[in-house]
Order: sequence, then C-alpha cells, then structure tokens
Amino acid sequence: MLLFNRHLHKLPSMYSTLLCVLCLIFTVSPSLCQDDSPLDVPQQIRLDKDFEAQRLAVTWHGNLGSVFDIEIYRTEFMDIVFNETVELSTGKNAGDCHWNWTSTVPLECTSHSVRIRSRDLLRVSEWSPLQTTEGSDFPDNTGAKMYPVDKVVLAGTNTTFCCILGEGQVLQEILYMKSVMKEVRLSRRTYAVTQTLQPPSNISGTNVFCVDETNVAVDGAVIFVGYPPGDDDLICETQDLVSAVCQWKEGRSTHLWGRRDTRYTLNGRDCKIVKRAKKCGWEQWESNWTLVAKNPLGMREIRDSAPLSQRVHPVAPESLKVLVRNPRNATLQWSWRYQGYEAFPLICQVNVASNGISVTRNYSGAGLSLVLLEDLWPYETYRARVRCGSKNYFWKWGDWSSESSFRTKMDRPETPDMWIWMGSDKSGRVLWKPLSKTESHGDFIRYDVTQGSASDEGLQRLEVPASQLSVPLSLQDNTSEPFVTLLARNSKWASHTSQLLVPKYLADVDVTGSEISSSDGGFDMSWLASANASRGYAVEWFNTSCGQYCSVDWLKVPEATTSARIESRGLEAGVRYTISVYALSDEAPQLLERRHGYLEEMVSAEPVPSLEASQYESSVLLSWQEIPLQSQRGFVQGYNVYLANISKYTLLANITDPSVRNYTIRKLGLGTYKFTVRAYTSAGEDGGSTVSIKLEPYADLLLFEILIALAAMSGFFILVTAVCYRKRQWVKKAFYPEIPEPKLPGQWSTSQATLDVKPSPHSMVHIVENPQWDSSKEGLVPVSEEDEDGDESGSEPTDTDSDEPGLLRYYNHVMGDSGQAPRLPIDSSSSSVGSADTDVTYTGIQTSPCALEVPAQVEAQAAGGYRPQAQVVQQQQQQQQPGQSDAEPKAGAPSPASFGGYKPQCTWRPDSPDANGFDCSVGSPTSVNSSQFLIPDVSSEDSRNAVSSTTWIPSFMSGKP
Amino acid sequence: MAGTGANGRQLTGGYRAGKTVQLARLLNTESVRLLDLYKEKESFPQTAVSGEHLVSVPRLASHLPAGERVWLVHAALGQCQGLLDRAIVLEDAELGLPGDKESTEYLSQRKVVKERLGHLLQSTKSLLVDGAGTATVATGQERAEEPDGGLFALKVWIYRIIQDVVYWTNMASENLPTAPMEAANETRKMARNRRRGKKTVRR
Repeated sequence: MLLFNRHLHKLPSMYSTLLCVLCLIFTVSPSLCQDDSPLDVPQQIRLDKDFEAQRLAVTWHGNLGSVFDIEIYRTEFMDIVFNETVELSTGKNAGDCHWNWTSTVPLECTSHSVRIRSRDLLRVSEWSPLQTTEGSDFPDNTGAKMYPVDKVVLAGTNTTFCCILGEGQVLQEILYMKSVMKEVRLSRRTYAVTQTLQPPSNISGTNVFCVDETNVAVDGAVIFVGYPPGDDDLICETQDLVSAVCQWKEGRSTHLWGRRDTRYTLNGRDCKIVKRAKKCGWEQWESNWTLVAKNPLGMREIRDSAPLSQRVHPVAPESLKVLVRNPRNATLQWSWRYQGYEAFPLICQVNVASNGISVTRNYSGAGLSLVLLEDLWPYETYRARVRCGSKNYFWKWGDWSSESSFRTKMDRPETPDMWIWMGSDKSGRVLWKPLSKTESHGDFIRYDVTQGSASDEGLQRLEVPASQLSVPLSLQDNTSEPFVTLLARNSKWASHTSQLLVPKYLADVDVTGSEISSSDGGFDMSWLASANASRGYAVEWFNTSCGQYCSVDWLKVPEATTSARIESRGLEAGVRYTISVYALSDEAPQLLERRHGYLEEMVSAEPVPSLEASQYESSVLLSWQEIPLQSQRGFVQGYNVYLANISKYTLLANITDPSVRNYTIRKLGLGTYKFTVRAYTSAGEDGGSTVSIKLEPYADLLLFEILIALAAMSGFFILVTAVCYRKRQWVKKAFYPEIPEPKLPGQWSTSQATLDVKPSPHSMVHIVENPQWDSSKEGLVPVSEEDEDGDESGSEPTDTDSDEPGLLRYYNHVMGDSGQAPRLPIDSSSSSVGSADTDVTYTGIQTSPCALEVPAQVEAQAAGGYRPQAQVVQQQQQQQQPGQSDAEPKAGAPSPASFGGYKPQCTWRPDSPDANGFDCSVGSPTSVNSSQFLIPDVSSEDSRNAVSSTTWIPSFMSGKP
Repeated sequence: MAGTGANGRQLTGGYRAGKTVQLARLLNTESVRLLDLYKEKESFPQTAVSGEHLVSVPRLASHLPAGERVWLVHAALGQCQGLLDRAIVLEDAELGLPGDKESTEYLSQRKVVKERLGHLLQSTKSLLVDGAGTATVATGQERAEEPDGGLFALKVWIYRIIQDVVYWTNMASENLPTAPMEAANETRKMARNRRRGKKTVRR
C-alpha cells in the first residue's frame, strides 16, 4: 500500500484522479484490493537481556510490514506482562526488526517468554513460537537469591525487588530495612515487592532482606538511593601567575559514597580529590575551564572562563624585614616567592599593631616589596604584616604574611601637664599628670621641678623620680609673681618646659560657690568666657573635705571652649567636690568660678552632733552642731525635729534653713520627753540624734499652785457658809432640831437651865458591884404626856412642833420635891440629889439591868445596896397597899406594860422577850440626877434619831453645854 | 593460676593466663558491642543471617588436651584477625568511609576490636610458648574467602566475621583459665612417660 502510494505522485494528474476513484472503489469493496496471501510469521526471534537496565532486547526477522503484535509472559505462570501492537522501522537489513522492553521487575527474577505476529491493515499473521529467556529461578539454580543487586536509583523513584527462594524454602516476609513489604508471587519460587518513593539511603545503602519460614534471612539486596551531582560555582585562579587552581562548591549531598561517589574531571582530566576538598589543579593557565561531575545517577558540567591577570590570588609575602630609621618612621621590606610578581602591579595592605591598636594602610606599586611606615609612636613596639592583591584587576586579597616585630627609637617626652594647687596663701602643691608610655617616648627617668619668682633671681631646682607626681610648694613672704617650671626626662631626651605662675589662694569663704548637680556620672561645668583666658581655661576639682594632701585633678581646655565635662574614675558618690575654673594666661591663673557638687547625694553618714536640750520654764530648747563636712555626703537641706515616743516619731518641726541649729518646743507639761533631730539631704534623712529631758516644776509654778489651793479652800468655806446661812432653817432641822425644854413642876419650870449642882463633899457615891441591884431604875418613873397634862392642868404648852416622839419628854424625878412622889428615906445616895449636885456615875447596873426582876429588886433592896430610885417603887408599893390589889396597877401611874411613848429603858420590861435588846445601852453614861442614859437605846426605832440629835448636835451647833 | 610450686616458669605462665583471660573477656564484651553497632547500622533483623562460621577451626571439645585447646583458640583468633582485617579493607572500599555520628562510633569500636584482637593473639601465643613449646599457628589469612554476590553478601560476610570474633573470644575466656595448668601437667606427664619408656627399653 505504501509503495503504491509512493508512485502516485509520478503519474500525470489526469491519471491520478482516475486511480483515486479506483482506489475508492477498492476501499469500498476490500475484496477487490486485498491480497489473500497470509502474512509471514516473525522468524528467528532472539532475546538479549540487560540486567542492569532491566531491559529485554527482542530481535526477529519479519515481513516488510512494520506493525507487530508482541506479547510477553512470565513463563512459569504464563502471566502476561506486555501485550501491545508496535510499529517498527526495519533495520539495515530488510526484515530485521529490533524492539526493547524495559521490565519493572529485574529480569533475573523469573523466566520471560515472548511471541510476536505481524499485522497490517487487514491481515494478521500467526503467532511466532514462544521464545523464553530463563530467570534465576530456573530449577537448576537451587539457591536463594534476591534482585536487583547493588542497584543505584534516584531518590523518590520506585523499585521492585524480587526474592527467589531456594528449593524447599517457604517465604515468611520481605523487609525493606525494617519494614515488612507486601509481596507478589511471580513464580513458584519468586516473590516480588515494590518500594515507592524511596528516601535517600544512608552511607552503606539500604538493605532489603528475604526471610524464610525459619526466620532466617536467606538473602538480601542493597540499593543505593541518592541524587545526581549538584556541584556549582567553578572558579579558577592563579597564585604563581602560571598555574591554575580550580575550586567549586558541592551541591546537595548525593547520598552516595565509596565506589558510587561523584567523580570529577577538569578539562577532561581526572581530578584527584583529597579529603573531599573540592579543588583541582592545573599546570598551565587556560582561558576556559570545564568541570564534569559524574556519579551513577547523573552528570553535571560547570564552566569558568577568565584571563590569568583577572584571577590573580597573590601568595603571602615572605621574609619581612623592618628598618627603623627614626623615632616615628620605619621601612618594611619583603620578598615574593615567584618571579612573576616582580613586575606585577600590586596593591598591598600593611597592618601595624601596637598595644591592642591596629592600623591598616594601603600601598600600591608594580612588584611592591617595600613600604615606608610613618606616624609611628617613638619607642614603641609594633607588629607588622602584609597582604596583597592585583591592582589593575583586583580579584581577592592574598594571604597575610607572617608577622614581623620592631621597635621605634626614643624621642623627646611630651610636655607634662602641670598645675598648682594652693591650700593657703603661702603653701600649696605643684601637681602634674604622669606621662604614659606613649608620651614618655623612651625609658622615663625623672621630672625636674624649678621654683622661682620675679623678685628673687635664685631658682630652686628639684629632681623628682618618675613615680612622684607632686611636690609641696611654699612661698616666702616677700615673693612676688612666683612661678614653677617642670620638665620630664627620659634616658635620652628632655621635654619642653611647662611653666605656670602660682595662682592666688582664695578660700571658699572668699568665693561665692554655688551648687552643681551631677549628670550621668559626672559634672557638666560651664562658665562665662573670660577675656583673660588667652591660654585657655583650667578646671580643677578635689574633695572638699580633704586636707592638704588630697587628690587634686584638673583638665585644661582651649580658649574657645567654655564648658567641660568632669568625668573621672576617681569621683565617688557622697563626696563633696569643689570645682574651680581658672582663666589661663601669661599671668597667674585667675579664678573665675567655684562650685560645689556631689556626684550622688546620700544621707548623712552621722547624725547631728552635740544635740542638747535645755528647759526654760515650760519650754525646751534644742540645740545642735553642724554635721562635719566629710559626713554630710549631700547638701543638708534642713532638719526635722521629732518627738520620739515608744512606737513612733511625731514631727514637731521642719527646719528648712540648714543654718538654723536650734529649736524651741513650748508649752510642755511636766514629764520626760525624747526629741530626735534628723538632718536631711536630697537622698533622705539621716539616722538622727536623740536627746531626753525631764521637765521639773519651776518656782513660779509652785507658788501659783499654793495660791490656787488656798483660794480654792477659802472659796469652799465661804460657799459652805453661805449655803448654811441661807439654809439655816433646814440645817437646823436636819442637824439641830429644837429640843424641848424639860418641863419640871414647881420651880423647875422657872429654870430650865442645866442644873448647876455642886456636889457636896459628903455626897460621894459608892458604887456597889451588885448586879442584882438594878431595881434602882425603879426610881426613874416615866411620865406620860397625859399625865403631865393632867398634872399641870394645861398650864404649860405642848411642843407640837417637835417631831420627836413624846417618849423623849421625860423628866427626872426629884426626890422629895413633889407630893406625887413620896419622899423616901434619905440615904447616902439620895443626899446627892438633895444637895443639888449632879454626879455622873457609871453604875453597876450596866452589867445586869436586863435581868432585873421584881423578886430580885426586893432582894436587892433587902441587901441594902445603892438604890437611888428604889424609893419610887417603894412608894408605889406603899400607895397600892391600902386599897388596891397587887394585880391592878393604879390608874394614871405608869406601868411597864403601858409605855406608849417614852421607853428609854425598855429593857426594863420584865416581860421583854429579848434580853439582848438592852445590851445596846450598856455602858452608856447615866446622869445621876436624870436617872436616864445619856445615849438612848438605839434599838428603839422611834427614839433613834431623837437620841442622836440630842446627844452631840446641840453642843456643836448651839454651843450649849 | 599455674600452681604455687617452686617452678617460677609455671607461675609466670599462670599470671599470663590470667591476663589473657581478662583480655579475652574484655574483647568479648567489646566485640559484642561491635556486633550490636553493626546490626544497628545495617538494620539487620534480629533473626540470624544464614550461613555458618567462617573460622575453620574445630570446636573445642572438653576431651581435648589443654594445650591443644589453647592452640585451637589461638588458631581461631588468628583467623578472626585475618578475616577482620580483610573485612575492614573491603568495607571501606566498597561502602565508603562514613561520616555520620552513628557510623563514627561503629568505626571507633571496630578499631578497638581490631587492635585488642591483636593483643589477645599475642597473649595466647605466649601461653603456647610456655606450655607447649614453640607455636606454629596458621594466621588464617589463607582462609579468608571473600564474598561473591554483591554488597549484601559482603555485609553478611562482615557480620559473620564479627560473630566469629564474638564466639572465639568467648571460647578463649571460657577455656583459657585452666588450660595452662593442665598443659603444664600434661607436659610433666609426657616427660614422665618418656622416662619410663627409656627404662623399659633398658630392661
């Protein structure tokens, strides 16, 4: 058909149309065009195996046709693994066909069989006989085996492994590293597993194990999973200006080592890599460089191209030498290893270091090998080194040379910085700052100090060792314009002279010094410009409380500067510094300003000293001294005065004037007080001093108190008197009730005054100790008012105002004075009455009056003892005897049972059930003539008050006896 | 170890035997560690790998004379040394020099075992000299059958070599303690037999 078509274009167009029509007719009716002869079966089929590539090459001899059906089987199970129609071009020899098939399973795993048939549009040949290629599971191979062997694959790809068991072995599992894989059976003895997306393996590869039923790994395989080379950045350069050294960067790890590691070739020649350094040498410079990196998984080619002059990486200079010419210059020389450098334009860096300071300078020139080092410090040790690069086409700096050390020569020392500090008018110190090693310019020896004045031509010279930084200065009285010069000497040279006129001493009291605050650990001092500061200014500072030998520091600033920052390591917190600014000129330094300041204010180190308290009447004066300057540690802003109690401090006063050092606390009461005084700075109060004082009474106060007491007493008495006067009636009633005058018959009534009876010498009473004789009471007869009224026939008014019961109205019976009372025979006792003398007798009736009974009275009477009132009884008895019975008392005559009011001797009642009731009257004095107790019976409720009032009030209020 | 008699040579031998045993025990421990590291490095399954011992020395039987047992141990250790040296060369060539930490520990342990195995070999050789005269021992180099069949076979081969080192160092530590004394007794017995034989001949 194809051949037929090839000739169509050669025919004339007129015929071609006809043929087309004919062909269409043939197409519609195939039987008309079809060749009935069968296609030839492919012959001479040959199978060639590429185990590494797992490729099966099939060759056969077939018809001229180029389409074939190909089927591939796994022979043992006749599993078809390929069945497709392929179109092939014939080989060089007509009828030879070639076709390759790549298997996913290693070809060793099992036998494969191939058959082929030819095909054209309408015909198909018969299948060729099966052509089989044996696998390793062929029965003759009885041992176990695993494939593929030592294969190298790209990471992320899939790989199929097969395990051929030995005869009689049974598969248990296939392990990919330690993972159990799912197997597929390919033949009687062959099983396959597929690992997908394999990760990069480790150094010795990934192991796959085939384990049989006895749990023994019968065989295994190693697979290496990695990447192709990734090297990049090839750069070639020269150091000797002839040869080349090419370097490159390794890309990501290929994960392949050993025999599978990457191999390199440079311009087609193998590179020997030492210790994995990516570097390859070449004897002669070439303008183009090609590096090929290759491993089992791929190849990478990288290139570089440059002329030699642009890739010069100089070697390190060698044999450095230094020639020292003077104190500040030196010559550095070196040599080059290769001759090519002698004319090659170079730029070199020279690094010079000393005392930790490093300076690098650039020099350039053709074949540079010598440079002059300038601006060096005299007498200083340096280390120098050099490196160079191409000047015209700088590529990169070469390596540093080795270091070379040298020392510059000595030079004149720097002029020392001198200052004069005056501690008084005539004395001070000459100070200077030490010269450092870089300032001494040699082995430093000493200072020369010279003192002189304009008036005195003689100079005083003094050599001071290098370690000393000051000398004392003393001026004579007549010295005018004194000055001091100073110069420093090293072992070879002397410095320029430093000269200064001695400044005038000005104490703090002569200068108004203001305070200055610190900032950031220093003082920012500024001042007004002075016309006299032709040589600038000097700022001096020192510890204010320091003495003659304290540290004085200073700094000098140029004329145009009117401020300076004082920042020194020597500044301490809590120390007062005096900062002075001087104008420098050809004359003596002139003080412009003086200030005081603390780097950091603190509370005072000690409390206010000498705190004392003094009493002034009711006030206390506190006084104290100023805190010493070195202890202040801050500007004292004032004092706080506290009253110290046990638990707290009470602020009494805040003294804001620090110059005030006393305080008075007024109007304090007597007692003990504690006062605390604390000085305070901006940092706070100090610990405070405490003083205690006890306030004593003072003279005026004592006198005042006495007068007050007297006045109070006087007023009290006056008040009482006035009250008593105004309430005299009430007082009288309450305390001195009217006692009715005793009503006596006869002349008694005319005179109610107290009897003034003088006892007669013969009327002594003999006290008879006879308790039985209490019947004398019988002589005291109570008189009822009715009886009195009856007797007196109302001639005497009745004291109705009296609240006192009527029983108080008793009267003494005067024997023999009344007709009512029968006169008794006079005895010794009755004679006292008759003599009108009253004799108070403490009678023996006190002992047993309450036991008095009638029989006893009779008995006592018979005994003939003292019976002052016995007559009454006897008289009554005598009156009753004529016509009255003993059982009925005489009407009108008082009987013990009929006492309605007066019962002074109630215990006399014979029927008294309470014999003790009488005891209260025992011992009471008894008037002989009244025959009654002067102190009444307190047991009687009715007579209680009356008795009391009748006993002492009258004598007290009225003065009556 | 070799007795407390007046024979100073036996005492020396006993001391050496003791040191040799200690060395064998130490090497056994270190070779076990090396085997563990190798299995871990290669992810070898816990199951055994098919194959037999590479060292072709008969196993020690209890009925063997002590001197012969020492000789067998020495011969086996010699083969182990030859195999191990060869395995190291092949492993480095085929698999490359590893650089990661895990393999570095393996390499370090491998070096320790290699060197200590040489010391043990020297020590057992000295025992042979004391107990049984001059030793003539095969080094085992000629027995080193290199694997064929890929890197997996090489790995298995290395694995077996380390296993053999473990096995024979264990054999050494278990059989050497009594061997020198017995070897000395055996030597005396053989001398006695020789004297008896001479007497018999005279008769």
